[in-house]
Amino acid sequence: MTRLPNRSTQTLRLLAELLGSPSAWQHGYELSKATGLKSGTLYPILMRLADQGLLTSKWKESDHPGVPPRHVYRLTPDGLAYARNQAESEPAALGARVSRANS
Amino acid sequence: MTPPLHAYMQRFSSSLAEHAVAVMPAARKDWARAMRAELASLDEGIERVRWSFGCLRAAYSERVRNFAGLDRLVVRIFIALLSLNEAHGLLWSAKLAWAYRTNPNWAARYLSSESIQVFAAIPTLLIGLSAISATLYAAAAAYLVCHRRNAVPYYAAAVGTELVSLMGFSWVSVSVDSWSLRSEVSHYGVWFGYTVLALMIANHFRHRQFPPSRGPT
Repeated sequence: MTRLPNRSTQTLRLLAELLGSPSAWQHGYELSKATGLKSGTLYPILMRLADQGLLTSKWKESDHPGVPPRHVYRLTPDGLAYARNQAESEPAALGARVSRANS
Repeated sequence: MTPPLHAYMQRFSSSLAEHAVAVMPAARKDWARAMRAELASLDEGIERVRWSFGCLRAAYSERVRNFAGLDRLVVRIFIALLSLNEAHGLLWSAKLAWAYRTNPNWAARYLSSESIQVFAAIPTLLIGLSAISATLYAAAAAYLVCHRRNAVPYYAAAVGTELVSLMGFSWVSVSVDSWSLRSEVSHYGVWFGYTVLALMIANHFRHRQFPPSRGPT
């Protein structure tokens, strides 16, 4: 049976986290800590979401000299709509986290 | 953590991340650099190592997904046949090792006096692991033909289980040599197949998007 895209628990957790602060740019490590996903799981999901146009990324210079720039991420308008839609259809996995983040 | 150990882990994790950047296909290179850049914000040695292993896993997964050879059904069938051959050999070994315990007269038909000494020393756990590994190879072969991406974890688990089951014992090769159906021709045919596969993979790594581009963007 073919799995539906973006319906894994890990993806839903990541979407919830990104939806929790939709305007903020977040680092990979920060997302990893917040979602509990290891880098080997997190980045393939980020890549897939970016391929689907649901996630945007950019390099951000550090405020501290000598520290290399870091990649930061946030949902695109399409991604926000998708994540909100998922929150409605998957309230247990995603909606609860979002409402907690918004409260 | 002692300073020398901390420094060693810093270097080790940096090397792993560098390797991940090298392995990642060109189209995804920026993502590997992004993972590597995160290392600078991690202080703890063990956390850095964990992060770098994750980078490596992501990079190799992407590399396997981008292995164009696997797009061809004939290549996937060829690899699946090699895997089934491996599965058959492992199952035969497990069957022979089990038969040695339950029906030694039957097993003795396939075993020389030296082989019997090897079989006498095999723990039951290794027989079970060998059977599990064979099942995983068969599952990987089926998945490879039907859905190429889903085969990877089965292969990883099969190879891992096989390595554990072979640790300290060469009983599988002993028993495979006793496999009456295996002629010299099939034996060399399998090794020829593995060689072709290894050359294909080497060619993939050598010419497709290698060497990696340098420096952060």
